[in-house]
Amino acid sequence: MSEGDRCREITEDDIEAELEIRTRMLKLTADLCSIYAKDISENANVSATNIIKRSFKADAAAIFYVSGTMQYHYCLAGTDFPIALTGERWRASVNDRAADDEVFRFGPWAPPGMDSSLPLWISYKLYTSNTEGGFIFLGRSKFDWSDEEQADLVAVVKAITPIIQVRFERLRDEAIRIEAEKRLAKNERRLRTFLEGSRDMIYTANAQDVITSVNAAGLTLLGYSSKSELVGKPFSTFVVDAVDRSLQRKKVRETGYAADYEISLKRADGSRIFCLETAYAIRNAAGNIVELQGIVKDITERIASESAMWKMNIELADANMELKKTHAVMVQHEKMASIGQLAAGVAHEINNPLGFLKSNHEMLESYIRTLGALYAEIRALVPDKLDEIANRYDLAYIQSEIDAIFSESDEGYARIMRIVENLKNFSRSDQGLKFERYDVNAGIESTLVVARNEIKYVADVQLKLGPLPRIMARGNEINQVFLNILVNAAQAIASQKRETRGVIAISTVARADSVLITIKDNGPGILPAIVNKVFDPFFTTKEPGKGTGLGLSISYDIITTKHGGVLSIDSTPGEGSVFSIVLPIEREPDHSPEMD
Amino acid sequence: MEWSETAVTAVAAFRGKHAEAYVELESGPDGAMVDIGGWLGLEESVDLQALLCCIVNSLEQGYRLSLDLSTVTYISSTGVGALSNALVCARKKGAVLAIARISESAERILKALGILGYFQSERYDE
Repeated sequence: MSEGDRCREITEDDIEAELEIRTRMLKLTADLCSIYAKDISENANVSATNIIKRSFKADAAAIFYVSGTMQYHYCLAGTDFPIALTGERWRASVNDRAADDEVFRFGPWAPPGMDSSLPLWISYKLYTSNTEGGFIFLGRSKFDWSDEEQADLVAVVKAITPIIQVRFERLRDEAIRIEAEKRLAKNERRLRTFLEGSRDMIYTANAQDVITSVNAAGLTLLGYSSKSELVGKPFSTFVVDAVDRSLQRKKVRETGYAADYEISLKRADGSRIFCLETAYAIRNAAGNIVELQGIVKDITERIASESAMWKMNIELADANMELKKTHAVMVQHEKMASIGQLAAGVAHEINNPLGFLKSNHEMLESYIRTLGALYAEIRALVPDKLDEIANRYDLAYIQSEIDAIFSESDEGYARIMRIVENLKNFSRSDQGLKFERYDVNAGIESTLVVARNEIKYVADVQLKLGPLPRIMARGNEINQVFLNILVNAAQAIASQKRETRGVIAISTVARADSVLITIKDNGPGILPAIVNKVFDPFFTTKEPGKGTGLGLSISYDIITTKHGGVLSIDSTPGEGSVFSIVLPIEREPDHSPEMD
Repeated sequence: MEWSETAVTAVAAFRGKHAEAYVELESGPDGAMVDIGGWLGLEESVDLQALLCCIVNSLEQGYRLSLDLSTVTYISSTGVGALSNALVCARKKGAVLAIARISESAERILKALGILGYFQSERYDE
């Protein structure tokens, strides 16, 4: 303002003009407030640009703003719609053409969409949002912007800034809300698709365990056709045993979840399925459970195949064990049978030479006696000469010894023949698998001959054999049983550190329809804890490698299974053991076949 | 009987790892007893399988091992698998595995899966 202007008097026209400007600005402010208050759409900026241009008597007006959806826009007065700009172009238009807190003058400039540039522009910040702001631009082709006009622009903008700020924030919040709702809706659709598309049952239940929602897989799993058949019912309705569900809920209450819990559910048709469930508890602020969410998977087929596999493995192990047992028993049977065969073989082999030895012995005895008679006759003819010769050869002594020698030899031959006979009796090799009449007492005696070498160094045998009827039996097998028990008794006695010889007492007694054989030893006895295991296959109290644990097992089988008898043991630790064998005299008609 | 150091160590390791399940080794005049109880879920059962095999393998041939399952609150199919596997180990070892006592829930599952019959049951023998 020049010195002359300052001194110029203020006329009525000036006051009127000033009033008109003030009124226009006030109206502009009111109109802008009204526009921005009433119209929350982007069109409000179009209307605002138009009336700003008109009120400031500008040739061009533009507003650059950031929308609620954070998109960059620009309104040019006279156009119908806001123009969307890229952030880069928007900033290129605004930068260097606006100041932060003051009116900025510049020019020439042609805003986007204007064909020609205008030389005189002013700009002012409309609002600030984060790093960006809204700006208003006014342009003229002539008549530069006065200080008053610039001040008016500032005044108007400052007057409408609060409402624009609020409007912007509202729009932004609204945009954020709409965007959030869109995302929420999208997530819900995605979740619903996921839930409904799941092959596993997914359900929710309230705090009372009443089902509140379930997916389609839940219907399939439980065999229902409508969700209404499940929703509203307690989950326990579909559980085979309610205790299982209670246990699961207890776990959920205590830890907040129960993972991989297996539970049996019942389907609509009454069938049962095995399921694997993972359930979580949703709690409110007070910590109370308000909802249970669970995923249930049908594992019936998996369990069935696993169960079949377990059974198969167990049965395979059983079969393998049986095979091993059978093999071992067969080997032991073979061993036991081979003792009999060996005995039979030895008896046979001894029997032949024994025959001609005995025969030769008898012949020799006869010849000696003949020679004796010959000597007597010659002596009668030439007594002196012969006596002299006889004295020289001590013939009297020889003659006296000959009888003793033949007598001892006879006894020796008789003993060998008895042993051979006992060996033959023990093996009964001609019997095979046939049941024949069998003399128990003779069997015991012949077995004692075979076992003699095991027994004679450690124990004395006391026999008390009563008169018995001959029973129907496989004598070779019964003899093997006697041999097992006798050898066990001798070995048990031998295992002790003792000062006196042991005693093995064998007795037999006839009963009404059976015979009872007891074999008692005064060995160490067997502990009560294991006494009932002595007939188990492979059970042995002997050191490793010294016993197969099969002898008594096979004996038990021979007496009970093959002969329908009873084999039992009574033992007292420190005193000894008594084996009792009861054998029927006659064979049960329906007992195991002879060729078993 | 006296338990092997391997078995005792394995049981201690199991108990240290699983708070909700427990295994205890006991001895009696009639043989060995393993007391198994608590929650035998998936994780517990996987370790139980190895533990039972270790215990069975520590036994002498022909020995009888009894299981006390009376305090089992929950047993998963993996737990049942562990027991059946122990049975196989016992068969291979020539040992006898029996169930002395069993809880209702465990009995129900073992029956449902058809495994119970493979165990000797002392309870039924009595």
